Amino acid sequence: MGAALSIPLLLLAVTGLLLNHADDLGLSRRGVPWPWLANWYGMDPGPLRAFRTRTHWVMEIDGSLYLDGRPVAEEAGRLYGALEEGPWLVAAAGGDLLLLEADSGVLAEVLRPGDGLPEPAHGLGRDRRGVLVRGGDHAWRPDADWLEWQPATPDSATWQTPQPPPPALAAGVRREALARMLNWERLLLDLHSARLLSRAGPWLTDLAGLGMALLAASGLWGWMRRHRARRAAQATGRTPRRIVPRDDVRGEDARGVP
Amino acid sequence: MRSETWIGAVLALVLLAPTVSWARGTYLEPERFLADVFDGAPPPPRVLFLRGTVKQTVREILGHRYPRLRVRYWLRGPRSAWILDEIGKERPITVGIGIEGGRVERVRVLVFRESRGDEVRHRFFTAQFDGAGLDTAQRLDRHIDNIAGATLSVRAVKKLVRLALYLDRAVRREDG
Repeated sequence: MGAALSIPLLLLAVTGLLLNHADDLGLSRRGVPWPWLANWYGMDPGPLRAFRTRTHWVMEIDGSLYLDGRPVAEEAGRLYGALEEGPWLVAAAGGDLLLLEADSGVLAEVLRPGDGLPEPAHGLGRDRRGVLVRGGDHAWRPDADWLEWQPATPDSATWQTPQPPPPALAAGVRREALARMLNWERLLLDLHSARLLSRAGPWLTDLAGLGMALLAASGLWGWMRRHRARRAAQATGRTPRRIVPRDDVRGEDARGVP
Repeated sequence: MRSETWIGAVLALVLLAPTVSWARGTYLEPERFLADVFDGAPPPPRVLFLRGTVKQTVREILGHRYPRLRVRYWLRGPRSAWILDEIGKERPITVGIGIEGGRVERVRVLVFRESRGDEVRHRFFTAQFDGAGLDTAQRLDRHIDNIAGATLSVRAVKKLVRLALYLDRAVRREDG
């Protein structure tokens, strides 16, 4: 039985060890880099939205933002627009504004309603006087540093609209998004419970668990028998008889004694 | 009521209670936090770019790079206010920290996005930081009690308070 249980035991032990330290290892924040596995899980990141700026493509899928195919922000929300202004590339996503360095794509700041934005941002555009941010019922104009805001009356404004991105870039972003949807903690949990083997998997894990319990119980039983025999022998002053397993087919013990 | 009904009700409460998540939410709007710190009239915001030794020290305090190039803050006289994010277990916690005279004036959890560990938003926890400062090793000059079951949230808030205290010193050095 021990040999039969060795593989499931090893799997349980290794996955259990890793899951025990999941927080320290950051397993819930690390994506499994195999899009085919996320596909097999039936995960679908949904539609992709893309905006072209002066020199970049900004895309969003499943709420994550990508700059020219490179991830720049997770859980940013739906992308409403992106443009370049001076040294900054600005993206309106999820009601916030993300300020990135246009040259490097490094995230400089996230402006949120209440601590950087007068109200949630749902669009970006330009008019004769410069950049505009569309809020709920109002338009706003930022200063050069995107620190302070003035209410604006748009003058012949052009608002950003999504555009179809280059197919190769879009395919790469979709693959990356699939890989991120499945994290290591999820995969290890499903391996630990054998849910990856479909509905029968958890039952197999239950059997392995019962098998381990039986092994432990039989080991304990054997130890108790030997312990009792030793104590009985000590009480009578006799040498304890070795408890030798019987060969039940021949009716003899391992020494050939009937 | 029959005893079976009472037993069923208690069992339902005990079994269902863990499935109810109360933790996530916005507990204080940023504008309200700033108004509280500055007696209703917050000053215009400023930004501190994280470069050079400031960037390095921020990394040492947090244990990782701060994922922004610049940090927004509000400053008037001896008071400054900081609204900072740090990941607890998986999601960022947004914390507002008010500093006065180089010591913590208030700590408020503004937005909590995890499913548990939100005990850090209560005054019994945040009050521990009142009056706290930094020692020469950029550590808090007092012990902060942990909360069982919210260790990662506690760790995140402590890091952000240290960060705010350090950044307050940094901006005052810059201003001369």
